[in-house]
Amino acid sequence: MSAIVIEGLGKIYGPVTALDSLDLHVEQGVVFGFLGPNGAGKTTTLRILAGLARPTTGRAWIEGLPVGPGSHARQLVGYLPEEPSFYPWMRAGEFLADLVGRLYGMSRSEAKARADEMLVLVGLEEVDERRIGGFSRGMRQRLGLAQALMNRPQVLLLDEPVSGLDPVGRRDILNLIDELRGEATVFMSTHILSDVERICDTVGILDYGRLIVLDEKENLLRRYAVPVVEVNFDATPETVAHWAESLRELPFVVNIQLDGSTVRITLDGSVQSSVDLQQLVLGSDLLVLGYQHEHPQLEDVFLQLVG
Amino acid sequence: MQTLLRKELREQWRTHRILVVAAVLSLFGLLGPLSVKYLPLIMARMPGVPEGLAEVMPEPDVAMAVDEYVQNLAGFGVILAILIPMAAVVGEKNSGTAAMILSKPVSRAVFLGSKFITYGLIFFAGILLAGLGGYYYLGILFEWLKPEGFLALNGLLMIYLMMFVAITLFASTVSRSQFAAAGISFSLLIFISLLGTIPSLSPYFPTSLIDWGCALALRLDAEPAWTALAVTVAVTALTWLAAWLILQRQEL
Repeated sequence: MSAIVIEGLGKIYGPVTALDSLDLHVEQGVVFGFLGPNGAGKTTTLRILAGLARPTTGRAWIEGLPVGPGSHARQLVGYLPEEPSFYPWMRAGEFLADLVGRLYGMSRSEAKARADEMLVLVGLEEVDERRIGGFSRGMRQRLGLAQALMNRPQVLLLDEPVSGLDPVGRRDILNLIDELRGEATVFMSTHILSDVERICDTVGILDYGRLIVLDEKENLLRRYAVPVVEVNFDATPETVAHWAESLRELPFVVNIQLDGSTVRITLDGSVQSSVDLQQLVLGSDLLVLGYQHEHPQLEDVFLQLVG
Repeated sequence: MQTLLRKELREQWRTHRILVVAAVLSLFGLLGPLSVKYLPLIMARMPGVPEGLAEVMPEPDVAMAVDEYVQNLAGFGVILAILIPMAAVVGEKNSGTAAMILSKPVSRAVFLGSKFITYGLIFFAGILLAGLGGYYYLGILFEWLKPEGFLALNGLLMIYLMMFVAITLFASTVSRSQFAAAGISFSLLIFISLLGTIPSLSPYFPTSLIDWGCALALRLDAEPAWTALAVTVAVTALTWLAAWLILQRQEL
């Protein structure tokens, strides 16, 4: 059974179509990266799944339960909004134990124990008695993740979970999300492609409210990423440029970029093109200092699809 | 319900709103009988007061003191009933805390209901303190009133104020800023007050509760304002219901 099922989901705000017949199935236990440019409809989708907004058309289910305000699906979900908000007069520990835990129906002792566990997990155990009003953005983001995990959710909805975090915080949170793989289904929207590349199994790319691609990350990289070879010669830039010009006419060479004695060659993607290029480099009579097949990046895929 | 009720009460305590309501209502509850008793004496001793003014002022009595007590509590109570809850819903929607809470398994009726009950409790506490102080000073400065009559007066006052709490919660649900919410509530207050001055309509309007309460406290013969009571309770219930229905439809 899919953890998240979205069928024909549409959302219209006045003249703006935020979501246009979105169909999506997310399998249980995966870390799903939901990508798209600003205004593509990522946050709208998450808000509908969290039961905070209603779709104009279509429906969605979480673990087989229909989503919406008042839905029982909320018992199974942890939700971290893009900018998590808290009561500034509350203390972090109190917020998790006395409010969030209790709203999920935990007993007082169970909520307190889980809150303590979560504070340690997100690195806020030292400040559990401090008022949230004095927290930095990064601390609020960590607390936001802690509250989303309080109920041991089957589905975790994360809207830009590492925005506002410093590099260490980002690494910690990404590691934490990574550890949830298999235990919970993580549905995460983000702009940071390297994060998606690092932890997501499956990727969906949204543009103008439409899902334009959905596949496992590795398949996507294979399908869309452009093969690039970077060669560094021990020769003058003029000599390298002269050699590179001789490649332009070849049918498998898509593009050539020069940077001093380094040449960056974009190939058409066929296996033979890499073999042919390798022979051409060796036959150039120039000393090769470096020869590197660049790994395809998700950024290339993203830019190719929505750029 | 209990979790959100505790959170609301804690919020009112930590943000000192409970203290403000209790302090304002008890201060003006006490000032009612005190000012009626001592104002003529103070004026008589003030320099520059025209000669003979003190003599023409009516002799203070318990009816005047009760009236002053009620006018103080009704006037300042309504202002508090508008200012204290004006950000209750709109503030949480704008800050994002409503979305944070309502993404959890909690209904919007409970979200709104816990706020209404909390305001009910803090106004109850405020009127209780005002009532105890006011009753004591009425007793020692004028005469001891029958407790049940005075209790009825304060009960009616509480019902009257809770109508404005419900109206303000409704305004806070439909408006986009707390000031707009306060504006809507003040407009409705003026509208209700103006309609209440029309003799043919006044028996049915919430303002009649105050006159009925005074009559009960002073054990005067007066027509019971059951219709006004029913109208007040109905307005309270309907505005709360409307706020809930609108909140149900709103996106956060």
